[in-house]
Amino acid sequence: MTITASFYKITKSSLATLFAEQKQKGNTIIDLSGNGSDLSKSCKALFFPATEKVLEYKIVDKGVAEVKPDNFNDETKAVNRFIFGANICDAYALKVVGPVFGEGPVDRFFINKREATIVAAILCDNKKNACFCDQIIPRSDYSNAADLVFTEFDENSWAVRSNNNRSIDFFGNGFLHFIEDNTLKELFDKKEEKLFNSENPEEINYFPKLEALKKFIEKNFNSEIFNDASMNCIGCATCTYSCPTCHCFDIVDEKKYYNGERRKNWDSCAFSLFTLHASGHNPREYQGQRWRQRLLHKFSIYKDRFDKIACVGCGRCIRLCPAGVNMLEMFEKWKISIDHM
Amino acid sequence: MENIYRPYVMEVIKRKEEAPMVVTLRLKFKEKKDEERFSFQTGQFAEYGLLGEGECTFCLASSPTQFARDKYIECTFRIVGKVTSALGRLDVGETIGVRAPYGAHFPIESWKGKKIIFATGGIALPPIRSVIWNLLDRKNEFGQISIIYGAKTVADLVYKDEIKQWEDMSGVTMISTVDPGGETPGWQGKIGYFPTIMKEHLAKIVADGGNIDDIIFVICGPPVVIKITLDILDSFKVNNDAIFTTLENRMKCGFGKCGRCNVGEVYVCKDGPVFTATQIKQMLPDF
Repeated sequence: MTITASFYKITKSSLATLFAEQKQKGNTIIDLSGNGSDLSKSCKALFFPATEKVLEYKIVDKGVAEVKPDNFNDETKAVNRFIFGANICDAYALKVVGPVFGEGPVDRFFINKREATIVAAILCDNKKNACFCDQIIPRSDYSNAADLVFTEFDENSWAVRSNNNRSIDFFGNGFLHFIEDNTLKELFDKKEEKLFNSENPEEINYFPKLEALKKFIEKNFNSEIFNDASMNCIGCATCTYSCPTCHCFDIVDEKKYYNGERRKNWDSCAFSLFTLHASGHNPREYQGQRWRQRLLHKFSIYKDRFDKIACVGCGRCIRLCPAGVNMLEMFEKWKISIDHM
Repeated sequence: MENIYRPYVMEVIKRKEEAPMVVTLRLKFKEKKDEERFSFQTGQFAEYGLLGEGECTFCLASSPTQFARDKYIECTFRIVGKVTSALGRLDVGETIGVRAPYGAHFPIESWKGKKIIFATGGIALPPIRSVIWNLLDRKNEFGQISIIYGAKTVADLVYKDEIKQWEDMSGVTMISTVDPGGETPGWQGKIGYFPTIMKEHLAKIVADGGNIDDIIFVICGPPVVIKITLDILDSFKVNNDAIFTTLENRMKCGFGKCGRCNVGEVYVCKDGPVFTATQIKQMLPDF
């Protein structure tokens, strides 16, 4: 079923009124449109928190634990939220990782939050430092990435593209603040066109074809290139924590006296302990092998399993790396080989 | 709404030290309705957790036929880290959380009428033990069963009582071996690494005019030993689809979400842990 998008206009003051009404109704409004940090603007943590309780229990007698049955449903229950001002790439990232949590046994912790949340993105005006979303996100998916897409119409009002009916259900009568105006489609098309055709940031001289990159990484699995490329890497995991699609986690217990919690914590393929066997054997002993896994997962494994690239081109791993490891520089170094694939 | 991280609560009904630092726990469901809901197939694994300590991944070491009869499951593990130490301290009557069953199973229905050779070492016998008992409980459906099992020392052999049982059983050839230097003065078994002993056993079958084409091989061990064993089987030109193994990568979630057990695009927890040699050879060398 394809729902064609509809377009609306809303004044900034009406939007503020709408948010106030929603807060009164008990819904949560999360505004990322201000001067949030690069990291907080990735809305990953709002769906997949850095640490999240998945089980709560009480130890009632020596070794005998009682899992709290009453809390059972509350653990996965999510509040209704409206996220305003996400980046398009970060909204798209939620679509990319959705199948990991939604297929097979359903991880209700992620899926319930996604189902209870409206994501409203703001269209970027220009490409930022190390951004390369235009190289990765298909053009057709770009406009559809978020539930709502905002772009400034003039000083006092927003133009809004609605990609589905979820916002109508969410706001109810409040949706009347949005005035339908389908002529605004042109404005969106023009702005997207302009963004896609704008000059790349200085850092990006080259970006490989994704098919060729996939083949290249698979073919060079046993080569030294990954060791060379990751020589600077200090294994701090900043790249994976800031990545809007990285979703690996650990499960740990925290106990205090008789009360305990089992928590799902972010983990990272950059850590040596990530794959260490109890026997002492480690399939990924060196940082180069871990970097290879990161590239392989993003551009090959994920494509094979879910038919999507697990990278949205947000550029955070490049901007935030304390050691200056740069995926795009690696690709540029391998340019001739990749292009020959 | 289902919380997939919620374990079944089970009670330890028996604890046994199999070897130094190797413990078997026999577990029974606390809730009758969980017991009724639960079923598994041989080769699948579970997440065993101690509330307050954490979770660990081991195979279900008892057979599904055993569960059907006696309504308990067993796990055998070596005490290595924080969680296994805590599990090893458990006594009869204490409680444990178990999430199961996960992963693929051995396709034993397709082995009917065939001879089966098991080759394994050390703490890799527990996953194989589940298959062995499953086949032995339906013995008339399968051919001759040979078990080649090695450990570092005589003391390190697990399931010593069951090895004796298998030695005495008709239709079962039990070959125990210990690594050179691990024997005791009274040791009656072989001396040598289990892949070598398996090689000798196969050479004998071939020398006696036997046919190795209708044999199913089930091997298990650490990654390097699996690779060596596959090479030996290759030298006998064994059909790769007739060789089964179970990989044991580090896991946390057990259902393909936490992202650490992958070998290339294969997720050991979801697509495995049971693989044929054909599948193993198609994988990237990342295990």
